[in-house]
Amino acid sequence: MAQHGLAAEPQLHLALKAIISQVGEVVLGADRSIKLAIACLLAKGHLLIEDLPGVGKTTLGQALSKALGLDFHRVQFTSDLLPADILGVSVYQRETGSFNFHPGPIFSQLILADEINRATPKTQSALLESMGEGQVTIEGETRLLPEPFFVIATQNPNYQIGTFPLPESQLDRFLMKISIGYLDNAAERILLQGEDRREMLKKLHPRMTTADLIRLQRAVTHVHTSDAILDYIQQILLQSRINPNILVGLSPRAGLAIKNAAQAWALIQERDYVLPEDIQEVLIPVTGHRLRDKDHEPLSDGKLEEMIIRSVTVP
Amino acid sequence: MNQYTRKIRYRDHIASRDAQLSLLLSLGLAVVPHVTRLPVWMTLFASTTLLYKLASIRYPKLALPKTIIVILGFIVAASVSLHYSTIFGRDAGVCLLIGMLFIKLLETRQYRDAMIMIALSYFVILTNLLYTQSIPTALYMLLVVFVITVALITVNSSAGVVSWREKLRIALPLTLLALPLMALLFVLFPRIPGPIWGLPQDVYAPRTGMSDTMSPGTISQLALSDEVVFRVSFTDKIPSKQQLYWRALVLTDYDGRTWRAANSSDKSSAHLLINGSATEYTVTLEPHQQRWLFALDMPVMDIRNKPPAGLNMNINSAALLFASHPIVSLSQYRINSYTRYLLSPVLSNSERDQNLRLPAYNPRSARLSQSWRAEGLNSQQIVAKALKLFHDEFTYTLRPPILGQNIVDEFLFDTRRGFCEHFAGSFVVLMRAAGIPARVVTGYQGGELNPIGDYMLVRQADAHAWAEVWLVDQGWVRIDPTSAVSPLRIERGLDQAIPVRDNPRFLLRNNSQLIAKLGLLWDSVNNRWNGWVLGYGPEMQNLFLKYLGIQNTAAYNLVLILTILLAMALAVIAVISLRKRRPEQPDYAQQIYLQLCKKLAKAGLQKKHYEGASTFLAHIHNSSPDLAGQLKPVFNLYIDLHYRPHVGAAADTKKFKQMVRQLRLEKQQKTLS
Repeated sequence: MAQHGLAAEPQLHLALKAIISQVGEVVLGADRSIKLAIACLLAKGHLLIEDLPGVGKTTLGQALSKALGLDFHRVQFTSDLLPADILGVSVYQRETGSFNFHPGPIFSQLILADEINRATPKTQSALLESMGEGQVTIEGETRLLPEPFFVIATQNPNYQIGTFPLPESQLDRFLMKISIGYLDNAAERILLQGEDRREMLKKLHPRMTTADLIRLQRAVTHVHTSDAILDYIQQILLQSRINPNILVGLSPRAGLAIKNAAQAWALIQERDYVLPEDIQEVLIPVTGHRLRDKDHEPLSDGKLEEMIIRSVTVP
Repeated sequence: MNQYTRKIRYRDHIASRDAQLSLLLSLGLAVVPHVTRLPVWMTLFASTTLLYKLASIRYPKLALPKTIIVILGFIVAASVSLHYSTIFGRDAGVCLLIGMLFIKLLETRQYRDAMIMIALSYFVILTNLLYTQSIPTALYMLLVVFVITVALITVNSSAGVVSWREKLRIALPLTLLALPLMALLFVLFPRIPGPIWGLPQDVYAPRTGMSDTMSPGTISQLALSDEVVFRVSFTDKIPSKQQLYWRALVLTDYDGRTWRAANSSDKSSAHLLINGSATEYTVTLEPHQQRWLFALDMPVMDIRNKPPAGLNMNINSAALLFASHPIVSLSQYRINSYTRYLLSPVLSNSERDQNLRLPAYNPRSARLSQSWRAEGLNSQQIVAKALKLFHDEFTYTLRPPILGQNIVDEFLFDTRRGFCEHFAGSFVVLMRAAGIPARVVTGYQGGELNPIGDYMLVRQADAHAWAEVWLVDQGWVRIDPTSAVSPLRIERGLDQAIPVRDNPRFLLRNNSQLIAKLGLLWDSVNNRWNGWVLGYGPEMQNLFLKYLGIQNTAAYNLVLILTILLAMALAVIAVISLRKRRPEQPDYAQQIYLQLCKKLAKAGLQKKHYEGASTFLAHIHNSSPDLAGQLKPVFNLYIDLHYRPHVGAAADTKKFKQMVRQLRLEKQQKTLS
C-alpha cells in the first residue's frame, strides 16, 4: 500500500513502527494486542484488558509507557481502595497552617488500573469519571489531568470471586476491550528461554516525545473516511439494533468509537484512509464490551463476528 | 429500554422544516387550477395564509394561537355560506374545502397534522375533475400527485437524512407504479350509466354557445370563438361542404328584434319522406348544457343505432334532434341523415299562421315583397328575386353597423352590410310578407376536416343561421341567403369569406401551416381521448370486456376480477420490494466493482458479501497467486476510487471500467473455500 498517510512526517511513522516492534520483543506473541492498544491510545481512548492473571497485562502497560516516554503509575485495585488513594488528598501542614494537595497516581499520563473490578463501585467511578472528563474535582477544586491521558484497566473475568462488575454505562467509557490470551508454543518457549522481562523493560528507551504523540493523535482525526465507510458503519449500527438476539443496539457513541478506532488502525497500517478491513479489525474490541445478548450475558467474539461482521455487506 | 430503541413515536414529532415547505408547495399546486373559479376573496385568503405560514416556518413565534384559528374557521365557513347562499354543491363545497385546508395549514406543526394535510391535498387535486377532464388537466394532476408523494416522503423522513434527489427517486416509481393500477381500475370498475352520478346541481351552469334565440349580433359573437362544439366522424364518405348544415333549432316567433323557438307542446313526430341513401355518422358532443343535438338535415333514427344510455334522443315535428336532458358531460350518438327528403308535405293551418306571423315593424320591406307578389311572381320566383337582391347589393361582414327600431328595413334599404343572422332574419321577413311560410334555422355550417384521425371538427366559429321556406309539393326547403351574398362562406368557411382586416386573431391560425397542423394534431389527440377515455361508459366497457373474453360483465363479477387482479399486482410489488436489498445507491465505481465480482464468481472465485476488496484479493492470492498479481492493480484502483479522497476520479473510473472490461478470466481449478 502506498505511503500517503504520514508522508509529511515519515520519522513519526518510523517511530511508531519501532515502538510496536520494541514492545513486541517484551510482550511476546501479542502483536495484535499491542497494535490495538496503540490504536486505542492514538484514538484518545482508554483500554480495558480482560484476561487471567499472569498473561502479561501489566508488562504490556509498562512497556508501552516506557517506549512512548510517558510517565506511568500503576494502581492495584483492592476492595478497600478509596477514591482518595487514586485522586490524591489535601494534607494539613502544621508549619504553614494550610492544606497542601498531594496529587494521587491519577495525575500521570498512563495509568495501569490493575484488577479494576476488585474495587468498590465508589472507587471505580472515581477513576472512570476522570477518564471521561479529562479533569478531576477534588474537595471542590477542579484540576486538569495531564495530556495525553491514557488509562489501561485490567479486569479478571467476572466469574471470579470477590469482583464488582463494571456497570454498562462505565464500560462504555473504554474505547476497546481486548484480551491477550495464552502464548503460542514458540513464543512461550522464547519466553522461557529468554532473559527476565523486568530487565528488558529497564532497557527500553522512549522513541517518541509527548508532542509527537499528540501530533499522531491529531493525524488520526484526519484519516479519510469515505461515504462507503460511513455507510458501512451505519449498516453495522443498524444491524446491531435490529438483531433480535442483541439486547440493546449500539449507541451513537459506539458508532463514533468504531470510526475513531478504525482511523487509528488505518494510521498504524500507514494509510490515510479507512478500508472496510480496518473496521472489521477493530470492530470486536470496540463493540464486545458494549453488547449483551438477550439473556444479559456478554457475547463471545465468534458470535459477534457472526452477528455483525458476517451479516453486513461491505459497501 | 433506552434512547436507542427503534420504535419511534412519530405521532408527537414536529414536522421538519422541509416537510412543512414541501407541504406548502404541494398544497399550493393542488389549489392553483381552482384560482379562476374561486371568489377573489378566497384566493386572497389562501395566498395570505400561504405566505403567513411560510413566514411562521422561518419565525416560529408567528404561529397563531388555537382560538384565533378556530375563529378564522368560523369566519371562512360563514363567508362561503354567504357568498354562495349554501355550503353544499360543487362550487361552494370546493371553496369551503380549500378555505378549511388553508386554516388547517396554519396549525400544521406535528407529524399527524402533516399526514392529514397530505391526504387532503390528494383529495383537493381530485376536485379538479369536477370542472374539467381534459388531457392537460390529467397531466397536471399527475404532476401534482407526484409532488404530493414527494411531500409524503419528506414528512415521513427525518430532517436531512434523505436527500431531495433520493426522495424524487423514491416518489417516481411510486407514482409510476400507480399507473397500471389506475388503468386496471379504469377498465374494470363498474360504470354507472349517464353523467357522473351524484354530480352537484350547480354543474349545470349555462355556457356560451348557441342560444335558443337569435337577434342581430348573437351569431357574429360566436364567430369569434375557436372553441370546439362537436366532432363528427362519418362512416363512409364525407358529404360536400355545401351539404353540411348542422341543424339545431328552428325559430318561428319574431317580435321585431329577436327570433325565438315556438313554445309549442308539440309532441308529434316529423312528417318526413326520405329518398336515396343515408349518410351515417357519429357525433361526439362537448357538453353545452342544452337539450338540443346537432344533425345534418334530415335525421332519421335507426333502430340499429341504439343511443347510449342516459341520452334519450327524440326527433320532433321540425325534424330536430333532442335529448331528454341537458348535455352536461361529453356525449356521443350515432345517427343517419338523408339529403333527399320531403319534410311536412302538408302544412296545417295553425302551422301556416305561425310561420306567416309578422310584427308591425319594417313597413318598407313588407311593401317590397308585396310588390313582387303584385308583379305576379310565384313563390319560387319571389325566393329567387330576394336572393338576387342579396347577391347584387349586399356585403357580408363580421362587423355590421348597429341597427335601430326597424331592423329589417334599415338593413335592407340603408346599411346593406350584415352577418348571417341579418340575412336569414330579413329573408324570412320578406318571405312572410309575401305570404310564403318561412322560418329561421340556426345551427352550424361546415366544419374543418382533420386529416389526422379523419374526422370533422365543428367550432363555435362555424355557427350559422339560414332559412327554410315551405313550398307546395316540396315541403320545407332550405334556403341559405348568406350563400347568395358570400358563396365562399359556405364553400370555404368563414375565414375565407370575410376580409382580412375583419379577421379576428384566431382566424390567422390558418395562415401558418405548422401551427394549423399542430392544432389539428392536438385536436385529434383530444378526439381519441374523448372517445376512449371520457367516452368509456357502460356500453364501451361491455364491448371491450367481451373483446377481452370476459363474458359476464355484471358489476359483482367485475369487482371480483378487479379484486383478484389488484391482489396479484400487490403480490408482484411485494415480491419485488421484499427481495433482499442490494446495497443502497452504489456509486459508479462500485457498480463496476460488482461487475468485476460477477466475472470472478463465474470463474469460480466467489466473494463473500462481508469481505472487503483487499481481503478478497488476499483470498484469491491464497488460491492462485498469479491471478492475484494480475488483479492487484485493478483492485488497488477500485480501493483508491472507493475509499480514498480522490482527485481526477472521473478519469480513473473510466480506466477502472476499461480494466474490468478487458479482463479475461479462465475457469479456476481451485475455488475459494
